[in-house]
Amino acid sequence: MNHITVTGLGSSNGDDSIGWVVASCVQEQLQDALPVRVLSCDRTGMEWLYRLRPDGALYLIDAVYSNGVPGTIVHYPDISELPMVSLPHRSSHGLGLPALLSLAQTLGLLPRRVEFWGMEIANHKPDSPLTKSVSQAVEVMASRLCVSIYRELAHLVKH
Amino acid sequence: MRKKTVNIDVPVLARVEGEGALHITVGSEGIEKLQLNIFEPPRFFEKLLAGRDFMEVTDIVTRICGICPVAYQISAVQAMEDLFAVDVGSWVRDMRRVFYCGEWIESHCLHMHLLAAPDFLGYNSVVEMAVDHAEVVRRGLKLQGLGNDLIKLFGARSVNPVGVRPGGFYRAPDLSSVQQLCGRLQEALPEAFELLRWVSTIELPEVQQEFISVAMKSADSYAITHGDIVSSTGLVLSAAEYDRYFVESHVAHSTALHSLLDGKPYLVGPLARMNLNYAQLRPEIRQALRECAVDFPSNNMFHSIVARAAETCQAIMDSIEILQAYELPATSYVPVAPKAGVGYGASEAPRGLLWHRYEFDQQGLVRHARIVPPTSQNQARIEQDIGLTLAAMGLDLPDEELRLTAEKVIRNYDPCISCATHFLDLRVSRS
Repeated sequence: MNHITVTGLGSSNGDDSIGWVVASCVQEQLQDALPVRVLSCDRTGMEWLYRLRPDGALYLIDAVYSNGVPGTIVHYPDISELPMVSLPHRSSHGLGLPALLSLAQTLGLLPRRVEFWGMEIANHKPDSPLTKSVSQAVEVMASRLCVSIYRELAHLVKH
Repeated sequence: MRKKTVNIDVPVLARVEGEGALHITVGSEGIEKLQLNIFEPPRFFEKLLAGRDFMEVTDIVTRICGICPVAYQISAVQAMEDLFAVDVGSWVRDMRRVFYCGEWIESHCLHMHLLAAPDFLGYNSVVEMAVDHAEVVRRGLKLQGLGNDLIKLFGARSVNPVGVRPGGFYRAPDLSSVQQLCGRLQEALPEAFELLRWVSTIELPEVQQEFISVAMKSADSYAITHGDIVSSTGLVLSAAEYDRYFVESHVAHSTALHSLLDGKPYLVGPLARMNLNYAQLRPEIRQALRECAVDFPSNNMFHSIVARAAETCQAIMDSIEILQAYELPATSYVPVAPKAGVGYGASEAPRGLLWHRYEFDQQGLVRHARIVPPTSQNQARIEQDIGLTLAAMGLDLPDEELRLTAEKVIRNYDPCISCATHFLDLRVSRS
């Protein structure tokens, strides 16, 4: 049974793939036997929601685009602190991440702990590679994320 | 003369990757002009297919739709197998039906819970609805997840699956996976019937309209993957005869083609299927519908949600029956050799009839492809329905009420633009 879900969000468009790249890196760094499930998605749909476990923890990894320095790691240990804006017209069936998290909470499906890990990106052009500064920050971000996951696992074992 | 112009604009649509708007002009005599504009950018799939090998077709058409990829794959392989004279055998036919049932369950549950029910219950979204109907939404998510898992069982993934190939499937699922999923379907069946009873308690608008229903029909089952194409006007056709009767045309206000039968709009989808195939529905479902006091055939378009719930029960029951008898086959496909000519395929996508026509050369390369999706076939009917519904409710009602009703009518068809019509932007000018 997987108590921890790591979800990398993104697309194949340049730095927007950072969620997938970091998720993959986390998977490589974690031991297989651990109760951690790593997913790479282009969106968080209803199926993703249904698979959440309220007694576990969720780590979301996504690109951040706020004119900051590319490669900057943004970490919100409590996702409710994250300033999220629902962008209309951008999400299938009108349910973007904020709406889905809200729905999960209403249905009692939202994991006890939801962390957000983001990275400031420079471009999201189709078929372009990661920019250098973003690429250089991947390992660092994955390692920090793994530390947080190990801490959460220790907490789960204790309780 | 009173003149009222209502422009409903949808600036960016999800899933159809396009833009749409609804323009209604109301004069003293009623609606003078009504156009559902779909600015769906041409995606050139038919052109992308040209020159590709027949073995590549299923992996290309699966990309056409994230919600009903199975339908595109099945219509495509049927067209190829029709031309190449391939008998895939009963195992492949049965498993394709289960694969397809997964898509019906997933797509119908998505529409009923995320799009239609909030409309009828007076909520802006499923997020709001879940506050008062958490158990209903939870059940819907569970059933939708089950549909996705059925697709995954045969297609390796639920979105844009890759398991189907001409002649069968690339691999057969192992027995333990099948048994495990079959057990979950059996466990979920009572919940599907609860869903049917629940949707039948929703107070739906009473709008009676005359319309032509078109669907596939099969003597031995509720038609999904095979059968004749029939209409409520008495037409009975093979897939090869389809384009002799159904005429697609380009209208200036939409990049999606309009399709007409004898110059008239027609309906495809769950309600059309129920209207034409009620007798093929399983007796337990017909009994449940009688207890719910919902009668089919129905001329109330809003009964589509009840039709979807009934079809969800049908899909689960069919899947259980087939999977209970599952045996691992010696091979999951039969060999296919291409030949030159034209093949036709048709199947019932969750939103309605999906028709394909392919012309191949001697090497099995696509020379020409033509795909007629259900949303395009329903477009003229949607325009007709909006006009009739708004006229029936009264055109002097406040613009906001007209807009909400128009949105409700559009979403009721579950077109690919349904999600985006949440964002209809109403502008009114009067003179």
